Amino acid sequence: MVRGISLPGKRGGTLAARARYDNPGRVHRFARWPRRLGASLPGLLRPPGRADVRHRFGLERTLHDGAVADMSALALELGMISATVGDTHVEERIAAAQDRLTGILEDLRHVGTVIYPPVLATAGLGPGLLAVAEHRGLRILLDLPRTELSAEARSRTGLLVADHFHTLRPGSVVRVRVRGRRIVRVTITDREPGTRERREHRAVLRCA
Amino acid sequence: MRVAVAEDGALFREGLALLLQAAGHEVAGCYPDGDALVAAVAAEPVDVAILDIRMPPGPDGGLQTAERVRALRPDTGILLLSHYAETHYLMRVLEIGAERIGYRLKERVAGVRVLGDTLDRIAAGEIVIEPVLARRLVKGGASQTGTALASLSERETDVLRLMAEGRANNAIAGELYISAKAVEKHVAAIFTKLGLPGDATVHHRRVLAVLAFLQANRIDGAAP
Repeated sequence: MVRGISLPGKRGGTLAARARYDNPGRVHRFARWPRRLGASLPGLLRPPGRADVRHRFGLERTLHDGAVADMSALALELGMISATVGDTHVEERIAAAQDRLTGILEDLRHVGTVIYPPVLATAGLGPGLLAVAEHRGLRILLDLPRTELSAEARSRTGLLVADHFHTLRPGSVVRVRVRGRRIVRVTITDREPGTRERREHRAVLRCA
Repeated sequence: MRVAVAEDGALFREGLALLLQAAGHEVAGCYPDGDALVAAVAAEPVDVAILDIRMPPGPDGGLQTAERVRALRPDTGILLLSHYAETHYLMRVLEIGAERIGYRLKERVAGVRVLGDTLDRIAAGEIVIEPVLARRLVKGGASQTGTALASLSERETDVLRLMAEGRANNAIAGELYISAKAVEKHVAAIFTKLGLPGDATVHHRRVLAVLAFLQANRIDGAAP
């Protein structure tokens, strides 16, 4: 949207206003420039803070070690009951209950992955981002530093990029470039399917 | 079959032990971490070790423990369990070994028959991969254009999916209602289309075929 760009003109006012006055329903060609410029300018992403990262890690662990673990144990218990019951009808009902349990676990698993991707927690930035991209159906190219980032930089950068992945449509093509160690610079370029427009997003993180 | 279990969740560990006994297996021991399992396996061998991926020591202690068990007792079957079906973990599992190994979701082995079948196949030398993961990966890989995988026919993709699940040729033939000879023909076509070298052993090429599609699916080199 173009608004508030004041340039001296014959009748005064903004370019957008001028365009509407001259030709209602059509955007003036001068007004299209800033619009295009706006689309191509990098958008700034807000990185998660240290406290956010700790909180999200704790939430995922609580979900994993609590509800998910208990429900998996419940699935085993149902399996045990099914093995001892000896009644086909009851076995079928138990199997149906196990199926429902599996569906609920799938949902919880999805929630856990969004809160804090498990591979990011266990294997680091590259594998973690690949895992999220795979779940989201994205095609990605990673350009990461050759030297290992600190634990804080890995987790904050990983969550920043993973959160952005969750906003993209499946089939999008994404390039992620990460540079720096204490001051980490992140550039994400993406193109959604069916469009030719590339969008660029940037973030800078100050890490300990 | 003698089975040892390493799992940090007490409830799941006890439930799994009961289910193993109900399936007619001998539970050699249940341990809360990988170090205790390695010590037990070193002292007395087991047929299959079942390990949780996310347990001590370390964030993915189950994988580290599996490597140690495989180095210590190469004939011991290994079943890794997780709450998550992730390609990264599958690649790590395949790096540990291409025989007598499996990776499944915890709730998917919650039945006497399915658990027994999984352990039997691992003990028989097969790779057992969570079918949900294998299906997702094969489907995703085949949908990409411009890759060698995209050149596979529908039937060849079905065969590759079942190979990725660790099925032998006879089992694939049974699943798809075709002859074992036809399966061999499809497998040969897959090897050719994926450009796998002809001088490798047949078994090695099977693993390479699965790895080829997994790797193709994980990283697409196209820049935006």
